[in-house]
Amino acid sequence: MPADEARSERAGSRKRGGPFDWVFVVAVAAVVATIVRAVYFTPVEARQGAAQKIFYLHAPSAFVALYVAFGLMALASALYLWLRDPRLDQLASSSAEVGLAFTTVVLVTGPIWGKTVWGAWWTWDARLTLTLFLWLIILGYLVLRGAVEDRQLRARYSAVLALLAALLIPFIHLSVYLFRTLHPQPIVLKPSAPSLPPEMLTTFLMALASILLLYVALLRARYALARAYASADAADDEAYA
Amino acid sequence: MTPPDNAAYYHAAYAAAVLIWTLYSASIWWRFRRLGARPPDSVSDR
Repeated sequence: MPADEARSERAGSRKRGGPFDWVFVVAVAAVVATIVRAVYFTPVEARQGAAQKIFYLHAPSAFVALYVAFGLMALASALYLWLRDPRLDQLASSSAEVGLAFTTVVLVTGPIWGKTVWGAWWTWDARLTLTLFLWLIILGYLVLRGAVEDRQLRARYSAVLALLAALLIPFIHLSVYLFRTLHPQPIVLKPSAPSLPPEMLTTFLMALASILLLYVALLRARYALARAYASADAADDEAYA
Repeated sequence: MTPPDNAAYYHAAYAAAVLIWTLYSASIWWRFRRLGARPPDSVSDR
C-alpha cells in the first residue's frame, strides 16, 4: 500500500467517529447516575460521616482494576505465549493501561478517605504498599512496551512481565487477612453476607456495575486504538517493503 | 450521634476520580486523532 494511502486510511478511521462508541456514552451516563445517587440519595454513615461515600468509587475501582483489568491482562498474556496471536498482546496491553488508570483512582481516593478515618494520608501497610507496587510494575510494563522496538520480542517480554505482575493480585486480596493492617477487610466481597444496609448496598452495586461498564467502554476504545496502530504499522511495512 | 463534617474530602475524591477518567479518555481520543495525522513509518503498535 502506498504511504499516502496508509495515511489516508488512518485519517479515514478517525473520521468514522474515533475510538468511542455508544457503550462509552452509556457508561458515562451510568457513572453520572451513580454519583448522583451516592451524593443525594444515599445516607451518611454515622461514625465516618460523608467521607465514607468515597467507598462507592474507591472499592469498585479497586475491584475492576485488580480482578477484571489485570486479570484479563494476565489471561490474554498467557494465551499470547501459547497462541502467539498479536491481537491477544494488544488486548493485554489495552487492559493493563485501562487498569492502571483505575488503580490510579484507587491510589488517589484511598489516601483522601484514609486521612479522615486514620488521620494519615498514607501508611505503609500491606494492602496499600502491595497495591502501589502493582501500580509501579504495570507502569514499568507500559514503559517496557515503549522501549522495545521488535514487536514479537516486545509482546513476549510484556506477556511474561504481566504474568509476574498478576502474581501480586492474590497477595493484595489476602493481605488484610495475612497481615495486621489498617485497611478494613472486605464488607461485600467475602464468603458471608455483605455488611451494608440495603440503601448503601444498592448504591455500591450500582457503582460496581457502572464502573465495570466504564472499564469495558475504555477497553474497547483502547483496543480500537491498538488495532489502528497495528493497521498503520502493517500499511507502512507494505509501503516500505 | 452526629457524623463528622468531612464532606470536603469526598468532594475532592469524587472530583479527582472524574478528572483521572476524563484525562485518560481524552488521551485515548488524542492518540487516535494524532494517528491519522502522523507521517507513515512513525507509528508503532504499543
